[in-house]
Amino acid sequence: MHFIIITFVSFFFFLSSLAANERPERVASLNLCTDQLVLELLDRDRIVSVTYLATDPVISYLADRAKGLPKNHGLAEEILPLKPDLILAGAFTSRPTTSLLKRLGYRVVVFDMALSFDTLRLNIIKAGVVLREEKKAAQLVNTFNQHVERIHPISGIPLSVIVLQPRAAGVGQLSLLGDILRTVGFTSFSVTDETMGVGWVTLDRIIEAQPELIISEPDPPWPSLGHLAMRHPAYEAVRDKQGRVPTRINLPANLWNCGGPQVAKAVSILAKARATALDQREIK
Amino acid sequence: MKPPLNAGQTGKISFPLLLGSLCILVVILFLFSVLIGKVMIPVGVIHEAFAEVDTAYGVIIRELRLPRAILALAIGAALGVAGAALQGLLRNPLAEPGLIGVSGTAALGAVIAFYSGLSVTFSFALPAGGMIGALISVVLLYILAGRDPSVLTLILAGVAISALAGALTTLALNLSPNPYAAFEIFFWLMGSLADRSLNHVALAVPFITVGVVLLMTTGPSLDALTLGEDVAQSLGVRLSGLQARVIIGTALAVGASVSVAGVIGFVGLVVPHLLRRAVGQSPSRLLIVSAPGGAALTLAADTAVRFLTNGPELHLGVLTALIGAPFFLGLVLKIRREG
Amino acid sequence: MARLTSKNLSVQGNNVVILNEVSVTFGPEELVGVIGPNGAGKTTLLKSLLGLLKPSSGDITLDGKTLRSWSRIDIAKRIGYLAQGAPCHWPMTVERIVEIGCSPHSRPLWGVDAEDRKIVENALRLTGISHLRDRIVTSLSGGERTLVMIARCLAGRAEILLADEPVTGLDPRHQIKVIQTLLSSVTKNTGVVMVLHDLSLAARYCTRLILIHEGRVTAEGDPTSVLTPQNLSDVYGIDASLREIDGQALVVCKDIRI
Repeated sequence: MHFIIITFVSFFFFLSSLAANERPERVASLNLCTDQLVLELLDRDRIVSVTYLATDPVISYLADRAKGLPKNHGLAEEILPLKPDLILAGAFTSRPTTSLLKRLGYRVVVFDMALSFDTLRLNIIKAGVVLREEKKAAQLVNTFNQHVERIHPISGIPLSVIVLQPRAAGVGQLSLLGDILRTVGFTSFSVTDETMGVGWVTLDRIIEAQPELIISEPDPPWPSLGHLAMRHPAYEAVRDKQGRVPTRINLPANLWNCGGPQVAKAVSILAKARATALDQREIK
Repeated sequence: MKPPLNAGQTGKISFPLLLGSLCILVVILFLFSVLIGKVMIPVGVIHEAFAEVDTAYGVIIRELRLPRAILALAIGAALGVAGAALQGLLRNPLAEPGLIGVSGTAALGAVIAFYSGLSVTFSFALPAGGMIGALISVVLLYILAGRDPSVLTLILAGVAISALAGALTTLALNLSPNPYAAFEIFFWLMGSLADRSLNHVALAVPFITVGVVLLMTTGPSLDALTLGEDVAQSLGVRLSGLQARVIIGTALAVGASVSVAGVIGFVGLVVPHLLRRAVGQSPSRLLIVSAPGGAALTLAADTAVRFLTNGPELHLGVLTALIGAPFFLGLVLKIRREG
Repeated sequence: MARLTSKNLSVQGNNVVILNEVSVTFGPEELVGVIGPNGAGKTTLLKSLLGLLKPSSGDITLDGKTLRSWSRIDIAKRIGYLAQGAPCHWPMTVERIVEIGCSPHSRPLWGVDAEDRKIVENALRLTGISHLRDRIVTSLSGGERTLVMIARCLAGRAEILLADEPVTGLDPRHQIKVIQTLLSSVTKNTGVVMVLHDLSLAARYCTRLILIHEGRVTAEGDPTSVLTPQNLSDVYGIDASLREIDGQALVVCKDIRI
């Protein structure tokens, strides 16, 4: 189904790109997620600026590639002197900045946040079109699809799981992480399923839910209250309904905080974690 | 300054009775705080908290509710007593750790201790940072407004100190490598006791206890100080010793509180204000009843925040501010009216 | 029996000499009046004698020992202080204020023990304010407030009471009442030193007067020897004399001297 959509969308972008024919040679990115699309698809000499977040390995999957590139903090005045011929921005990039750049005649393309595998694929194709790297983009999407299709989820066996995030707990149905969890076979994966993006679950509800699998993040190299909260001693005492210690794994945030090919890695880590947790259940 | 409060008759309630009922109230609210939340704990399972095998209820009580209730009790008492002591020393009913910038500066100290990574290697750096921050602000405040019981001087000094602390906190956050530091601290500064652990209890409660005890010893001297500095000295009060005890006691109690709970404002204003008439305005008695009074208010507010909102829990400091700000405005009006 | 003495006491404030070589002594069994024009240094003398101000030279001794070697609390047990204007910063009850007076001797965290209770009752009775015990001190008149503070001093059982202008601003009835109360507290173990401006009251009630002018003791002795027309003219710049009407001393002031 989504292949049809993507074909249609890419055709649409192809047409529109014919109008703005030239290949962008000086690309600036104003958003962490567009940073990674640019870093995936372009050679360094065509990138004039990425955000300062792009070099932080905790949140940026391609931090190594971003090193040495000029950084911006999302300010128009940082971008103007670089004379870019294409600017990529996120839906949450400050509106005054994008509208100012547009008014000054720059070509600004805004990318939506990837809240599902479909938008993830769409964003890669769209980036391929505007960057004139359609082939590379199609290849990335293909590899991603192959990775995901190789996962054979052991579905139908309910496994209670709680996903901890540094500044929230729980996952919404309508999120990239939700799609990842569904792909690996989880059906219900949170105490609250109603909210979008992030869910709010209090720690007492988590303990009460008696999860078999706890997914959290590795500790970053910098001090973070959010990560400290995930190390609350209460988690050490959490037991599942059979009184067993739940399986606990760390999923690096940079694998799923932006929609990109790296999400495939998150999928395989979680598939393995689910298998381990189910094995545990049989061993004990 | 003329006394801002009504010069009417004092309350009829006797002091031991008042103290006793406040203590009973604290015990009841402590139990509520342990049992009530998003997960309701049946009274019958309290023993599970100390059972050999961990149950869900047992873990919730021992690891979440108990630390939370202990911190609410200790921090509430600390804020109440610190408010009463500062009001006695500065002879000003508006002196409150949050309003006059002590909590803000303590928060600055804690933020520096945490985001510099110091508290990761040495956990006591966190309360230490809070206490050093609080100490600096109380000393500054006393230099700026200590000898002058005028409301205006005190509030202006507090505004200046708060503004400086706020600016320096933002600066410290900008220097942090954590890209979410500002976001985290924005919420942390609002004050909360959610998901604190027994580690926090161990970090803060010893210092809070020492601070509160130190403040309690100032009662008789603060009583004498109501008659002016000269008369107080003629009654045997060593002013420098009294100042040192209030300043150090406040720094320990408020600094340690803020370092684990963020800024919980107005408790030190509301509690002494509500109890002052019941104890016949006597600063020494006010100090004593402000401990259970502050504990009761904080325990009640911290239990209420678990239910007031549907989504993320309301921050405790937000609720105390919503309760306290009208009191503050009312007090200002009263002082203006009475000249 | 306490004896409080200053020897060649000089005090400076902001590089101005306030007291200059003042030598006075106070003891039991007397009501001493300290008189002199505004700014003569009377309040400074009292505060120095309490140890609240540092002398620039000279010395103060209490029972022969220099005041500097006494602890605050031991001074408080021997010397009482009635501040000018009877200040009070919180609207406390009369009874509570008098209780505070006991504090040099006992410092309970709250409440008072049975013995203190008796002392407080006695102080209230001696000053005639038992009926005001539950009143808020800041709602009282100046005269009543002064009596409350005297009761507070009595509860402190000091041997020497230093009173700074206790009758200034009071109506005639309260002036007499306050001075009579102070006088009644003078015993063979206790004495009172009082700063005042009313020369007639000073002449009538004080056993001894000390006249201070520009930081120096100009005259000292019984009222008739101090309140001479010459002294009154030199110190106050008035044309006045001490008379007696109906057996009561009265300073009659005719004019000011140019």
